Parts: sequence; structure tokens; C-alpha cells
Amino acid sequence: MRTNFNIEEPANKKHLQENPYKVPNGYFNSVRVDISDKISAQTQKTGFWTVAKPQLGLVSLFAFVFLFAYTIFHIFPTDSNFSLRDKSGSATTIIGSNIEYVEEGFLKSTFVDFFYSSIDSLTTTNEQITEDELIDYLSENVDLITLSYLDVQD
Amino acid sequence: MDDKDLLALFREKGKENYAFNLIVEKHSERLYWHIRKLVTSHEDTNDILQNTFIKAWGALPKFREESRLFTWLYRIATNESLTFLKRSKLRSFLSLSDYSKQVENQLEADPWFDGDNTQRVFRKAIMTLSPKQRAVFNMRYYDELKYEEISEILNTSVGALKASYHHAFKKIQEILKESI
Repeated sequence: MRTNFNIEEPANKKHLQENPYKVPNGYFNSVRVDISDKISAQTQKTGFWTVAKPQLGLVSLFAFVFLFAYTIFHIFPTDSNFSLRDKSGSATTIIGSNIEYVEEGFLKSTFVDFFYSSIDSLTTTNEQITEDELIDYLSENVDLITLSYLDVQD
Repeated sequence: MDDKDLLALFREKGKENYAFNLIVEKHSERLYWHIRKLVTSHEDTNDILQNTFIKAWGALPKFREESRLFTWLYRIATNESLTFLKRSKLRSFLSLSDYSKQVENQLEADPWFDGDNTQRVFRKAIMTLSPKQRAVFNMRYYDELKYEEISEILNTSVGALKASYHHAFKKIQEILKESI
């Protein structure tokens, strides 16, 4: 075992720098021909497709982005008009504050319908209840005991 | 014909192929040996060399002569070789085989290796380096390129290259001390 071998020592360096590899006979001539053939083949390929390919790629990219955005907006709508499906699979259409459940061709009103319509009637119409109307309502719907109790409170 | 004349000829209409063939003729041998010292196998070197020139052909019209033509070709060849080595390492990792053993066996079985025992041990020691460190070591030790030139090829600072060469040198020296 030699322990003082130095790869930077001139004699060692010269020996180590010698090329230990070989190539098949005539390799460099043949590789030049191969490269030249490949390049000629590539040059000939520059036709309609070579020009059209990148442009078609760009068009497909735009189409993909559009479809992607379209799908996303359909799944996660941002405005108040959207459609969804309930557990039974029937379609539900919600349009603004008017909610209509369309089930097997029938329209159904729900509490939400009533709630929104009540709000609408209170906020959009400015009806005043007259004193006579109030008395009529109380006399029809409130019993005597309650009325006597109100008298005592006054 | 020097590189500037070759590039001028390449830019003349209708003479691209002729000029490029001259470029291949002038630089292919030196590039071959640079790649061969990195990847060892003749077949792999042949593929990488051809890819290098095909890439150069595609990119040459955009070459702005900010560096010398040979440095530019060297850069393409080095990048192609490093990509090849990375892929080989990944492939052997995925097939659960020992990459360093595989590289060692490749050198042992190479019918195109004609060196003596010292040269074989030296080559094996170089193969233990990381691909980039191997590239730095080869360019400095074999091709005797200046650090500035290597820096241009590998796009790495001169300081980092000096450190890399120093570590590679020490590692190889250690392996040789034990093996020779």
C-alpha cells in the first residue's frame, strides 16, 4: 500500500490525464453523419404541423381555461341564482328571494317562502292598521277574561 | 475557420446546414470526451452528444455571442450529462439497486476502457463524486479550464467552484491513498 500518492504530482497527473477510454473505429465520422442526418430530418419536418402545433396548443390552453372556469362557476356560483339537488336527486331552483322547489313538476311553498313574502309585505307596503280594525280583531279573537285583565292593568 | 466565422456563415441564408456541419466537425470530439468522462459509457455518451448538437441546432439562431461558441456548447453538453446522471440515479433508486455499485460495475464491464489499474481506481474514485462535483473536477483536472470558464459553463460562482474542487480533490486523494 502506497500512502504518498499525490494526484497533483506532475508525473502522476500526466499519467492520470491520459485518456483511458476508446471508441469504435471510425466513430467520430459516423457520429457526424448521424447528427447531420437527424438535423436534416428535423429541417424537413418544418411544415404545416410545425407551424400550426404551437398555435393549436395555445387555442387548446384557452379552451381548457374557459371550460375550467365555466365548471368552477357552475359548481360554486357567486350570485343568488343557482341550482342544486337535494338528497332525493330532485332539482331545486332558487331565484333571488323567491324560492321555488320544483319537485317532480309541482311547485311547493315552504316556510322560507312565507318568511320572505311576510318581510316583503311589511317592508314594501306601508299599510296602517286603523283603531276600528284593531278593535274588531280583538273582539273576535281575544276572550273576555283577557279583556278584563287589560282593564285592571289600565 | 474560427467560431466567429462559423457563426457568420451560419447566419447566411441557405448555408445553415453547411455551417452547422462544420461546427459539429470542429467540436464533436472534444465534447465527446467531456461527456464520456462524466457518464463513462460509450453508448450513453453517443446519445448525449447527439442530443447536445440537436439542441444546439434549435437554439443557435438565438445565440447572442455573449459567450464563446465552445463554452456555450460545453454548457449544453454538461447540462445534458447532468440531467442524464440525475435520471440514472433516480431510476436505480426506484428499482432499489445500489447506484454506486452499478456505476462501479459499469466501469469494470466497459469494453471501451483501456486504462491500467491506477487509472481504473482513479476513475472509480471520480465516480463517487456527485455529478456536479464530478463535472467541476473533470473540467479543472482533465481539461485544465480556468475557474472563470467553468463558472460560465456551470453558472456557479468561482468561490463555490474552488471549494467544490478542493473537496473533490481531497476525497479522491483519500480513496487513492487507500487503494493504490
